[in-house]
Amino acid sequence: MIRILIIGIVLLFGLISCSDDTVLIELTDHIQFTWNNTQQKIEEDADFKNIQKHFLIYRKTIINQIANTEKTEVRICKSHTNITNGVMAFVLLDYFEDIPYYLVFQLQFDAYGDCRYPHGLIPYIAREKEEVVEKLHFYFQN
Amino acid sequence: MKKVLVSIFVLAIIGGAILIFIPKTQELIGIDTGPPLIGIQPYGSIADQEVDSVKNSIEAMYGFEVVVLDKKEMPEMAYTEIRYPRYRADSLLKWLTYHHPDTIDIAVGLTNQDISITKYKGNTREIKDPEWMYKDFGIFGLGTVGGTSCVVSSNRLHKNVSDKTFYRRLMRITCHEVGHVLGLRHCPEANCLMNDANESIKTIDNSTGDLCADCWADVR
Repeated sequence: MIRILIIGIVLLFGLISCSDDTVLIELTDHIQFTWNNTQQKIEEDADFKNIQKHFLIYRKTIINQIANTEKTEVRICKSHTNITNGVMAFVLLDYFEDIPYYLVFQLQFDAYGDCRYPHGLIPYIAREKEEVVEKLHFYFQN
Repeated sequence: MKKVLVSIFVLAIIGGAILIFIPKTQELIGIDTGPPLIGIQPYGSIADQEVDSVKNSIEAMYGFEVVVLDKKEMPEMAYTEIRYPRYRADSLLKWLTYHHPDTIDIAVGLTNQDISITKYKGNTREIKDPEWMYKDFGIFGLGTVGGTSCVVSSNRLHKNVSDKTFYRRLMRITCHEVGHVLGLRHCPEANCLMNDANESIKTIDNSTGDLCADCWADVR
């Protein structure tokens, strides 16, 4: 009897721990959104709708935030951890703009596995953040 | 009585967990969830006959179900004038990866516009020589190995050939790119459909039009 109860509690705990794992990303006072680690997407909640509504006003700030090195608990696909707010700013930008990577960065990212982002893109954004900010500003200004 | 109630409680939890997590569990332990559903995404003014031929070729070769999605304009984000006015195949792959319907497992973009990529030296980030040519190099198709999308262009297949040859080329290139998405890399076997075209349409023309035994064995 006690054994069955313990199994039940363990299973219940397992179920709870398997529920969606979300991370709030605060880029500025006005630009914040929630990333869902389980579903690998941005939650389309009130914060998201606010960004969507004011996206063209926020775009420049979002691009500047790519240089933000604050660490988050975000996981992108299976291989990317230690994700910074800066990478998440890029992820946010890429949600709203169809960014042609080669035309912006002069680097071709064309190898996709079971991830929305091509191989090498996320490490490149994290590593070359200043260059990425500069190239994105140039692309959107022209 | 208590024992019965606890047993029901535990069974309910197990049942619920199985129902909720079956798709996730299958994915985690790699259980085959059935053949993929392939969606052809026709772009712009591509002829219906070309779309039908691509659909028939994938069905005949791989035996998968294929549906044709509503036509879309060529994505502006892929347009380039680096060497000529045309579309970047890598950008089209990205567009397909982001925009194909959730109901589709593999998206095949089909266009009659010219498409291009940058060709690098091996696995480096150094553009092949001559750089002026390879920084934006016209291609027949591009597929991502083990990914979810590929793109095929009929633009370069017409030149000075009969309709029969044109459609044969179109079918072979499509099945080659779908082969990449199904996990196949280029094959050293000269007559295999997965042999690298090496920048020449003749490689496609000389192929048997079928996968070699090793490639068939590797289709995911």
